[in-house]
Amino acid sequence: MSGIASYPAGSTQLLLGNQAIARGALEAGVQVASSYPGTPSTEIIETLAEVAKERNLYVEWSTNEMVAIEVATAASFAGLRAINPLKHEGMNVAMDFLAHLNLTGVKGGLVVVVCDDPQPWSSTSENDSRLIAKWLHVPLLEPATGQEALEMTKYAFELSEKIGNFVMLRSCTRISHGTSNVVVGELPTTQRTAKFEGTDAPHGRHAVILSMEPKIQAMLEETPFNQYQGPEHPELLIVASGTGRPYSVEAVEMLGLKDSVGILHLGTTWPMPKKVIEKHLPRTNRVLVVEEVDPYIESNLRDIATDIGWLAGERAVLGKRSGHLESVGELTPDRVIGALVSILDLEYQSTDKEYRQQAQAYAQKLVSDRNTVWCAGCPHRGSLWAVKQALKLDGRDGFATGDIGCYAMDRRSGYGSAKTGSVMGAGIGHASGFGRLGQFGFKQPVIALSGDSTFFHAVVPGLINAKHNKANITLLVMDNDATAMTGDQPHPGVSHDAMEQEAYPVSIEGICKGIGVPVQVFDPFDLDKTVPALLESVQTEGQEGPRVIIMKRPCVLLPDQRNKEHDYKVWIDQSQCLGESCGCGQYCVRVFKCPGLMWDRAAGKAKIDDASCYGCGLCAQICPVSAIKKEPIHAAV
Amino acid sequence: MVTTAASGLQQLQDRVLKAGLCSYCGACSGLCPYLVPLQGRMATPDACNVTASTRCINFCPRTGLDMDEASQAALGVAYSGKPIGDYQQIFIARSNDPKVLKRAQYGGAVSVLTGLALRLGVINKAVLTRTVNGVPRGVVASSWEEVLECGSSNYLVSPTVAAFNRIPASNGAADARIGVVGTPCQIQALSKMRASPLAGRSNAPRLALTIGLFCTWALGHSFRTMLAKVAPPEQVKRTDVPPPPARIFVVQTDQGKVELPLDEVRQHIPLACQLCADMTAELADISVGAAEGIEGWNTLVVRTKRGAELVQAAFDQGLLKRGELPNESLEHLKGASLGKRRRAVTNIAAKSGSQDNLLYLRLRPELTRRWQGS
Repeated sequence: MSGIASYPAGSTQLLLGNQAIARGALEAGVQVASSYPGTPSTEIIETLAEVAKERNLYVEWSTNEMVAIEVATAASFAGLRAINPLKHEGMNVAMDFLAHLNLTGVKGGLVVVVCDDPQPWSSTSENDSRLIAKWLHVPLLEPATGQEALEMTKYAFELSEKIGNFVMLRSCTRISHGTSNVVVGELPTTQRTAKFEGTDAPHGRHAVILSMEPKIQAMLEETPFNQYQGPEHPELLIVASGTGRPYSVEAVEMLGLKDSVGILHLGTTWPMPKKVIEKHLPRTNRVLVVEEVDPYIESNLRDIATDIGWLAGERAVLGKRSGHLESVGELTPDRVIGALVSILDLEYQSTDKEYRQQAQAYAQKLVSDRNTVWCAGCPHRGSLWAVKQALKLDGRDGFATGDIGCYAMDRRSGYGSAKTGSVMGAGIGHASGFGRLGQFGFKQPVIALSGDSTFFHAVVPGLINAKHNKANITLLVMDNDATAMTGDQPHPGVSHDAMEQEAYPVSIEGICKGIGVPVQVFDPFDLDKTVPALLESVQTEGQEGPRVIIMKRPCVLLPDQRNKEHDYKVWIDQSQCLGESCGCGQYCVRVFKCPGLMWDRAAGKAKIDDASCYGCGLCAQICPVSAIKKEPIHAAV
Repeated sequence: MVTTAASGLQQLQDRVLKAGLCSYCGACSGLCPYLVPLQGRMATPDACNVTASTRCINFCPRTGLDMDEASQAALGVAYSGKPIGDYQQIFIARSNDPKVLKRAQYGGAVSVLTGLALRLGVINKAVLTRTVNGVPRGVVASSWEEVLECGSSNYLVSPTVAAFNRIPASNGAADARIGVVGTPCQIQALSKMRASPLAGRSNAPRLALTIGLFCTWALGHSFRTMLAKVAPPEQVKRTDVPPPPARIFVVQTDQGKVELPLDEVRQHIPLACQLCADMTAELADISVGAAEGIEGWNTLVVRTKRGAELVQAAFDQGLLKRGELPNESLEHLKGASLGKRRRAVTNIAAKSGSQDNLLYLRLRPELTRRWQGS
């Protein structure tokens, strides 16, 4: 046995929150798991995929999140337990189906784990998925620790089958990616047999699920996930969920407020546990709500507090709406401390100001000033260099419509061709629209960007739209053999699946040809060909319909790429390098910007950082005086 | 040398490219990755950060062209401003080789002189303009065959000086003797390059021969679209503007001859050409143009000793046939050249808004007044 399946019942394991969720699902007897990769949710599927074979699970990376939830639902409809982890943005993709599934209901336990990314660290948007549970009238659980992540996941499957509907479990970056000790339970020894016997039609079921809500509420009131901790009559009551709970405990301890501030831990946050709240509100006159992102509990608590007549006179519900906490960015213990200090009018300084300044000054010396950039050897650098060159050479203020993948870095720290970038598939959709604005005087060339995984996920409908409606655009597909940004997961274009079994590789080129779109395939490192091809594509005056250019080269972080010997030995002949002078102006380090290139301050010339250089040789093509030399390491290159 | 906070490229963009002064000669290009000639326009894909005195602004004739300095550097004398510049000899000539005449625009003198210069070792590289698929660009020729491929003109502006700049200074080019065949703006650029304090960072010290081409105007690349409606670029064999009063632009194709109305063609003349005061490439060693009214012959204006020696060698070797330029034709040429000077100073003043501000053109005051007709 391996991975999470190898832990004996009762043992304590150091687990990521996402691993604890996966183990909880395994203990609950999950048989099917499906998702599309998305930080911070990805490890749930990866953990289950690792043990798929020995536990006889079916685990898949689906084409996109909506397909993923539909796949998981099929298992549920057939009586099996299934899990569908998503990031908050993936939840939006799945919503079209989920907003009907809540009406249809499920059979086998179905748990939708949504991992929010406040701040956001690895997303283009920050939002609070909890409001979806309220909107869809489905139960919502919010773990605060690894142990709870495991326990709540198990409970969620039970609850799902009891109420005949899916259950939402909301994690966030610090829960999913935090590591803690978790005591694991028993794994089941039997599996269910899949058999489908029909489902209810969704229409006309709104009233049914509304009528279920009080019953669900009653069940959640009884769970051990809502607990009060603190004095009988605190000066202030903190009501907290998720990360807000450990942060509140920490803040109260640091400020020495254990005797004056109580904490009501809420683990079930839709339907709100009204009786629990009714019981604890009268302990005090002031409540501070501590939660991740929106004032979701805060607003619901106000409703309950008003309904029961508590919220009157001197009494107050404080939090984000009162300005003591912020709705933007990630919650931190410092933010909770700040709120307590303000509300309770305390004298508190978390760190000595002078010490903090000295520490910051010292830390700044240790880090170099650099942007987020593509890895040395990344094929995207070649692709997006060609995009920039083609659009700038064309000179008509052309631009790229961005999408989601590592290439999204073009917009902020790359070459700046991409002027849009929001959700997967939006790049081609925008381009399709721009490509039809000619009748209104629009003349700028447009290149839609797409990755390979993104192409399958959401670009195909936009491309069909562009073809059908004759939008005059170029689609650039950067095919690097992986869903690279989330850690090189497989996608429908590669020949293995999430469980490392052989899969059918669907051809991007074949799809484009099937749509009737002219396709050209290039190596993104062949700038002599890619720049003229892109220039020609954007300069096709009056052409009707899209053209596709595929840039094909594997991600350098794929295991076989990472471990292989470099293609070239690359070095700089500093006697030829023009450095900062006319004719160059630090072109390689300042404009081309590969982390494998460094600036030799002493010499005033560029040099190769042998530790970072991947030996791709791309930079040798852009040096204006050919001072960057490359020599094949293997004769075959 | 000027050093300012703005990069040289930024200054060039502000003072020349965005100001509509660029004649697309190519002098700023071929030196760095920041200026790329494309389709009749200098493209600038990236921002340069070099704020020290840069070659692009120093070599561009349109950031400021002091005619005395340029004339001293090219011809060794102060600028006279005479209608067709200073010269030693003027006559008409044509090639004796039917193969050359078949390919040449007029009398084939440019091809003959360039080929001879290569053969004699006066030069070992010739920068010429070659048109491929309707787009002219500078090429480096080192054989007679390569020279012949560049015969004839398509009237489009060409960044030929970029090819001169691109000849590497290393790899044995130190002993390069480079000849350039170019339009007046290109010869002006080379002259300014020779006079520049940054000449040592260019191929100017290796410039061994300049052959200038008469030019009344050239066409911007928007003309290619107009031409493509008549014939695909690969089918165009030759283009010509017959002398007045014919107001036509002749396009010779595989299928025959097509005539375009000259007034429509002239709509494609860039503003930069309308600000040029040089019709006869007055800073070249030898200037060559059509001998108007004498079909199949060139007018040759020999301005320097090395020009005279090369032309003499061509006659001595029987490569060129010589004829006298009728006085009437000379007067006509002078009239046309002075006409271009006058139109230029008028157009420049109209653009600058002042008779005293000639933008890039730096002339002695008496010359300015003479050309302005006051």
